[in-house]
Amino acid sequence: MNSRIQIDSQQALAEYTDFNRKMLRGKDLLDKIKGSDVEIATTPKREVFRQDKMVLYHYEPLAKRTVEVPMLVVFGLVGRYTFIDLQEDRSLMRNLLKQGIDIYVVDWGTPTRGDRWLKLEDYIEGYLNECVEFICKENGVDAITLLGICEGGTFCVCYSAIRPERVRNLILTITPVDFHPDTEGAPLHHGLLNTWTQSMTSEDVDLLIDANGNLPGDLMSFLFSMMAPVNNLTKYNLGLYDVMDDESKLMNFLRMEKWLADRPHHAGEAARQWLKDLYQENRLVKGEFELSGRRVDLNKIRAPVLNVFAQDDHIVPPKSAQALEAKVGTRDYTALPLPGGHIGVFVSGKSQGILGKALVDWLKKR
Amino acid sequence: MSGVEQKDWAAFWFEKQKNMLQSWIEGKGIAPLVGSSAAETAQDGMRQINDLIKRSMEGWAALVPSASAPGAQPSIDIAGLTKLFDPVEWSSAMSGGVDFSLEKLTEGPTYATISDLDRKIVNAQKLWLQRAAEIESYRQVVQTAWNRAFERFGKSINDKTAPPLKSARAVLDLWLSTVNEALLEMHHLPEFLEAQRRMTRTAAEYRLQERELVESFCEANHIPTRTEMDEMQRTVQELKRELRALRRGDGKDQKQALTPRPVSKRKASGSGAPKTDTSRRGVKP
Repeated sequence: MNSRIQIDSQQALAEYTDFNRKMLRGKDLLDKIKGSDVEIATTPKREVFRQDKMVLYHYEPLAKRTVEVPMLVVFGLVGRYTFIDLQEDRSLMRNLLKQGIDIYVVDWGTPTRGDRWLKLEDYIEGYLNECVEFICKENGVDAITLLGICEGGTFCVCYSAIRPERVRNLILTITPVDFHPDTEGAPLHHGLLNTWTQSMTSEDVDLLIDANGNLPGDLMSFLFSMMAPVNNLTKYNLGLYDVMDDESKLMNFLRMEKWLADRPHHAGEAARQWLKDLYQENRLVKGEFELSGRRVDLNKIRAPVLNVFAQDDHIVPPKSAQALEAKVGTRDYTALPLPGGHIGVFVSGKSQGILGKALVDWLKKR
Repeated sequence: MSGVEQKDWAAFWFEKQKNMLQSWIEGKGIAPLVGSSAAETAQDGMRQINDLIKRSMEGWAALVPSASAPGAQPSIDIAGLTKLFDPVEWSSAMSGGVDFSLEKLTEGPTYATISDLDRKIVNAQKLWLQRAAEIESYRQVVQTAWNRAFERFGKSINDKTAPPLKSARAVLDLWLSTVNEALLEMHHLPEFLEAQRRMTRTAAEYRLQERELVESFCEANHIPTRTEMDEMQRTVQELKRELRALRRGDGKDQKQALTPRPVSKRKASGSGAPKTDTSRRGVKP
């Protein structure tokens, strides 16, 4: 035989039969599922505060409160917060609520062209600050716990440096701090966003924002899909085929698709700062990043810090997140590396029992 | 086509157009052609056109042997002809000729009192073609990665030292992992990064020129432009920022910050909501 391909006729027939069986079962399941069956972010919550397009929600408690300090969950502008509450059995929110945490979440809304002038200052010193003030006032406390995710984590880092008196605990997950991390020895798919943004000139970024007003959500989706090129090309044939005869896996697939399809534009001026000041010039970790003309000094972060990062995170490489340790002004710093990728660390079946419990255990000690 | 022939045919065409319009204006309808002297002239004109086409075809046919005969002096630019028939050139939206013509049009002088709408249209067309050319360059870079993947896959399935592939799925998985690796490698290459950068940039440049063109129409038709809306929204945003700063006393008195609209006053469950101990543990010196 000349090649490695050694498929005998019986094996081929078995594969063919299995393929047909799976397709039939999958077709039945897909016929049965309606768009309305695919729901995400279903954990009960209610709106408590709104300003412009930003909405602050408060989750209904699912257990007796075990940690007095309320927690505000802050996601970034690149995606929506709904993936941390993807489905009932894969929900960081439910895990935390069931362990007695009082949780608020901020929804930045869907920026339109009119929001193109919103800067990072408006999000961090404006909306985020007003959410924190509201929660402090409603709960009669001086400071709260911030849980930042990805870009939202960077917002929380900045906020903790400029308003340290309002932050009781700082929990960061998959949060970029050093935007030029050392990639030597890193897997090929790690840090592509850093490589791509650095390949653009400052003028390229200006043109991109000027032409579109905002940073288009579609463009971000395209870039993210390129980070896992074959997975993206085979998602709706091979990927769907692999899960289509298992209702639970199929629903999980469809919920993830629903989340991915809901990618808002990133407000223009904030995107300009995000790409130029942080991704291109790496100002935050250098201590040169400014909000409203005031330097963000990471040494002013005095709250205890729990920094959770994913060991196979292709979007925020572990070293990008780990850089915070050397910069903060507190000695109460805990690093928590978890297996999995950028999204998997929140939604994979394996991580469900780990992340929520680790967060609550850490909070109870403080 | 010689100058005289061009002139004769053009004169015939314009004469007929003039007659037709004249007959419409005078309410006579279209003059009958059959059996008239006009019909004979038209037939004459058609014969001239046929002659011209025939002579052009003969001219083209004569070029081929003279260009390919060994030792013959080429009467035309062989490189240009080769380029013309190269499929790679067909896939590019921007031929050198078009590029040059557009360049000539767009680099002319600007006259203050003449509308520059034509210039804007030509600029937009030029940028559209540049954008298409950059997309094509990007695709060519991506294609090299696919070619590399094909090559590696071919080698891999013929590697007798590697474990056998005993199912169709195993073969498919090998192909997919080979492609994935080749594409990821490509994503770090300088030529890919440059092609991607140029593609994104020309797309943005085209969008801006397109906006300028649309805004010319808006201005002429009493419609607010995107730029005017942007300016207005910028002013609103700056005012909001100022208002926020004023309400919080420019950061000096945070308790005076904008009072949020309270929807409810839910008491914290458990043992109340005590004031948080703001003392910090383990603060770095």
